[in-house]
Amino acid sequence: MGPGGGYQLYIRPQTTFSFDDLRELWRYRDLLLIMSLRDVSVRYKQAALGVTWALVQPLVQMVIFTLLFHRFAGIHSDQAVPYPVFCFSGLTVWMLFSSSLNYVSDSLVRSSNLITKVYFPRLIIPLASVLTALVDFGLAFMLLVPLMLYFHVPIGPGLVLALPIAALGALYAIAIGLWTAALNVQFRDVRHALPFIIQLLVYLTPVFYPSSLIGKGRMALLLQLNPMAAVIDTYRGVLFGGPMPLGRLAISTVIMVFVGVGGLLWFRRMERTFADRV
Amino acid sequence: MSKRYILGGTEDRTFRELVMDTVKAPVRWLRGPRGGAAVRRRKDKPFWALEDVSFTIGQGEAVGIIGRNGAGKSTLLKVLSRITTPTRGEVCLRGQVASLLEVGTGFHPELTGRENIYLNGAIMGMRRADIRARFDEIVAFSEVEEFLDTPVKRYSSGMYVRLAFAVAAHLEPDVLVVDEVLAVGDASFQKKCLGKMQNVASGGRTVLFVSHNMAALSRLCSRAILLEHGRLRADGPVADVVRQYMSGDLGDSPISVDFAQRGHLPGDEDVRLLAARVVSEGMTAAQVDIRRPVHIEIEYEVLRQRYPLHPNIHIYTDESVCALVSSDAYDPAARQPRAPGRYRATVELPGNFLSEGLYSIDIAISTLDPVIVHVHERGLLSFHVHDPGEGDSARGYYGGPIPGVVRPLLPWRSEPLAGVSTGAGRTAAGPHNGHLEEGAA
Repeated sequence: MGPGGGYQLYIRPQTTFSFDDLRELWRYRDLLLIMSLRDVSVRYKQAALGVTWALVQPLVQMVIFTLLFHRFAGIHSDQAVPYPVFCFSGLTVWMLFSSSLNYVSDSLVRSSNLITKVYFPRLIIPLASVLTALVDFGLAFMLLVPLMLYFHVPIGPGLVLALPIAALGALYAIAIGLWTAALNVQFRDVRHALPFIIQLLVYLTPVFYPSSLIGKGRMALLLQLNPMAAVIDTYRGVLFGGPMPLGRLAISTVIMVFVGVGGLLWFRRMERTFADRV
Repeated sequence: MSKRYILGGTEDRTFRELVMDTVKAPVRWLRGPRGGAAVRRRKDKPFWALEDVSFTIGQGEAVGIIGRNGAGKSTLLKVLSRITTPTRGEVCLRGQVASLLEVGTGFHPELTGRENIYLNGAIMGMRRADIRARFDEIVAFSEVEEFLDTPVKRYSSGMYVRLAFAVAAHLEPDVLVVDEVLAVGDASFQKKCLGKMQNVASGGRTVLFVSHNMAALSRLCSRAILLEHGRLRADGPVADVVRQYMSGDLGDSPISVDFAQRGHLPGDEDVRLLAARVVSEGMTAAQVDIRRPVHIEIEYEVLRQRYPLHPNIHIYTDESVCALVSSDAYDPAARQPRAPGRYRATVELPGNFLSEGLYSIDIAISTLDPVIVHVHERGLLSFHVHDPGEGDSARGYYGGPIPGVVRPLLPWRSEPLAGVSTGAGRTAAGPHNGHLEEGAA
């Protein structure tokens, strides 16, 4: 028996995805945890206001949206809750998705010093970057409770059931992020374009307006193509006891599974040149 | 196994260029295959960092990898540590590989020493339980106990390196790959690291070690591999390969040229250049200890006693910066035309003079009034100045990079000024006082 219990490895020019990769990912699971915690710890260590930032951002956006779209544009909530709560709940999930996608896309480039100096499954890097967004979401979500109490919105078990729905938002971000992260290594344009695109996407997503506002035209179809629309609508339905478009959620999830698997293969294909390009 | 890099060209394409190329592709196609091929050929400049390198290393062997900068050592280590893949061929590894290509990879400046031990260990493939089990050992080896809960951004470079090496040294891989890490850190710590690596090697594990420090390499390794321009030049017992490297020529410019053997003597009707060489400690040498003087010998034949002839040297760094030009024009005796015959001019570059690095030398023979350049051979010779880091050169016990073309050992003196109390002033600087001063800059 050789060293390492017969552990044998071939380093070859071409590599495709195999189950060995998953085994190796599992072997490095502690790194995933430690790196995730590092990102969170660094984020809250450096910022003087720390936790406050995670709360101030959605709150300020909620106030702006409420003034702009509710007061002036006359957009109303279609749930049985006041507009600020409606808007804030949408913002929590949207920000989970958008910051996850931003972190994931930028993760490889930010870790270039690691990529060029040491081997570990590269997939760890984008995966680890999501925890920070999840922690931010957790904080914002905790703020949702006093907000609901203030606006006399009944609190039920939906509060807990909504969490896995929100988690879908992070998973979608990973599925898309695998593509953008690998692209970012090759084309730095992604780094500049993506935050901008995400900013525009908020208008195509029912964050500050309800899906029902769009009606049933061509625009509605566009909205249905947006996987985050289904997530946010379902999330609100669960939270506030409204309708839950589970069919749309299932379709978008199936689509995102395909996007994710494709992303995994693409990531794996690009992985071997990361160190040479980054 | 081979590794190719594409310089310039498509690797650095921006997204805009990709789009443009895709849009233009049909046009290029319409123009016929020749047009397209021409575009591609102009853009891609392949560079083989490694070419047909092939070897087998058995379990428990300690192998040194030698070669000058750019020979492909780092690329080889990168392929072996799975950071990049070969372009052709394959590598078969049996056992777990841990590589230390840079000290402190993955250290985060904001995190404390303790947090960084866990982070760095995990990056190197250790499980958390393993790190916890060896934590005390790592801390003891690194000698930074008191600062464990201080962010590493406040560490001195010496402390940083010690902590980083300590983590790596306590990995227990089957194969340990170590790049020039001993170039950093003070001499006593370097000794400690070498000792630790020796333990690893004698413990039946395989060690691959890249270093310019031939003494350390010879002590640690039994076998060495010499790379040159990406090719395997020699593979054998360490003493033989080191000797070949030290005395051998440095790629395009050798350390010794004998024009008589080449059958062509550069020069004119007044003077011909016969030979030139770099000599250190009585032998032609490619590797020169920074502390020792180097001699450059120029042999020439005067054909006509007509002009005063001044042999001169022009020394360039590997970044093509002219470090110096020197001739014997200051010497009144040299201002007389010499009688026909053969001469040998020797110039001494003192020890502790040129910085570490690779130098290339132009050899010329000129008349200064009027100016006539009889011979000027560019980049004829080259040699490498290295610092074994024993503490008595200008770098002292500092291990990091030092800029500058020259590195003289200048006399320094510090004395107390009136009114300054002597004693504890310096040591009072603690963790809250900016950087922890530990000597190393």
